[in-house]
Amino acid sequence: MKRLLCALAALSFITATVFSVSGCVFYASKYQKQYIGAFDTLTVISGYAKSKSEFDSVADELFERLTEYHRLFDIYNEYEGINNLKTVNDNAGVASVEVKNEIIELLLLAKNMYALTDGAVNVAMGSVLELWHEYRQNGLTEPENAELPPEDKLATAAEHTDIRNIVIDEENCTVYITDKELSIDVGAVAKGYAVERVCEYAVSEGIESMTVNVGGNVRTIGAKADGSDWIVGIASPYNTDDVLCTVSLKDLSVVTSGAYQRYYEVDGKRLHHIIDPTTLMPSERYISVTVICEDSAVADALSTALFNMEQDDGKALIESMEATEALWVCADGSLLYSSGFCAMSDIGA
Amino acid sequence: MINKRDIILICALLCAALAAFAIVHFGRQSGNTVAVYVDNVEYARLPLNENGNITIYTADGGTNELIVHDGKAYIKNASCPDKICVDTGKISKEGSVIACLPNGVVVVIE
Repeated sequence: MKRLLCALAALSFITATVFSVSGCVFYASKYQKQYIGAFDTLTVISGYAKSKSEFDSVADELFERLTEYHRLFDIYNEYEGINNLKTVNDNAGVASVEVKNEIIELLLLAKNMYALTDGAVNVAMGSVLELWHEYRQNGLTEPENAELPPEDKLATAAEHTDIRNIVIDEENCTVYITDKELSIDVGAVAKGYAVERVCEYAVSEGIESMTVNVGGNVRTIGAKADGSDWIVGIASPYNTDDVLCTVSLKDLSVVTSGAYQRYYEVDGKRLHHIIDPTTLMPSERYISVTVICEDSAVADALSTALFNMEQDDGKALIESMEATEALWVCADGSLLYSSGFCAMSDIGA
Repeated sequence: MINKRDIILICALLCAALAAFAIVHFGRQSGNTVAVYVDNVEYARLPLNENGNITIYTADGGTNELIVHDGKAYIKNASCPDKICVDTGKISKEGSVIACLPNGVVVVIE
């Protein structure tokens, strides 16, 4: 009898140790699912669930919603039965377009971010970005004939980037672009906004522990199943396979904007996709900028804005915002952090 | 009093527990299957611990040549214009991903 008790005690102790160390496998295992499609990028959803089928059904639902947001914010393609941002752009100077509330919300957020950053992130820059897009595509298809967009063309396009000419009627849920030549491009905010909304949905469905990564826009829900923080790697700007550092997050988002992500070359010079609204050229101050804050949409917009801002202005902005941190990789390779960044990362550890 | 048989029993339990821990813990660290998805649908699965290779054919005529060698998976050649999948290099840890956006191909260690 005594021996049995002793054995039972040992067994329960060992079992408890094993399962607490190995991450509570009794009620939750870690799963991951990845998708291609939404926002023309890779989506990786991972989290803890009781079973694979339970996890998969939640992840599938989130991806379905991301795809829906992508259709709404798409400026290149039309979809049957919905008015998206292409519809709004096509009706510039012609008519106001009735849109879903998500488009209104995204544009209002974009206007707020424009005001907050003194115009360093501007969704009304579509005409300028279109030019760059065209020259980049040509440069990638025929590298030997790669060219810069001509200055006069850029200057003409830049005359039609006044964000006030995007008129939003919240009550009637309509958007009207009053300048016929202006077009909306929400590339700097749409992914972050969509990630934030689908994570909100996940929380409303009772999800307590998950990460959603849409092309580098990472949103964490809760902590890991064992209560510890999620560890997220910040991609190295020099080698995409490597990490620059890791950050510990709980209910926070992290977004990195990088000059290494999308670019083409003209006469050996790299021209990336983040265009400074003042110079109309790719911003050359930094190689990458990472922002951590709760709202993924804000993190997304801020990372682009900081890319276009001088160090002092950008740092002052981040320090003025509550629970918001940033990491700048400067053009010369040096690192600059906001005051609380190191405490959240393994830099210097 | 604890006698010899108790000690043996406890040792046996301890060993079993350690083995369980090793399976659960280390089993997650390095995955054992290379899963291939095309347009988000499972296309093939290969054991990570056996050398092998397959060519992935996508619906619109794209190809990615997947190699599994020495417990690592990588794309050797691809028809895509950007070759990001080739540049990604070798993956071996569970959850690691190689993505080829133009071809709609995802290779993941599971």
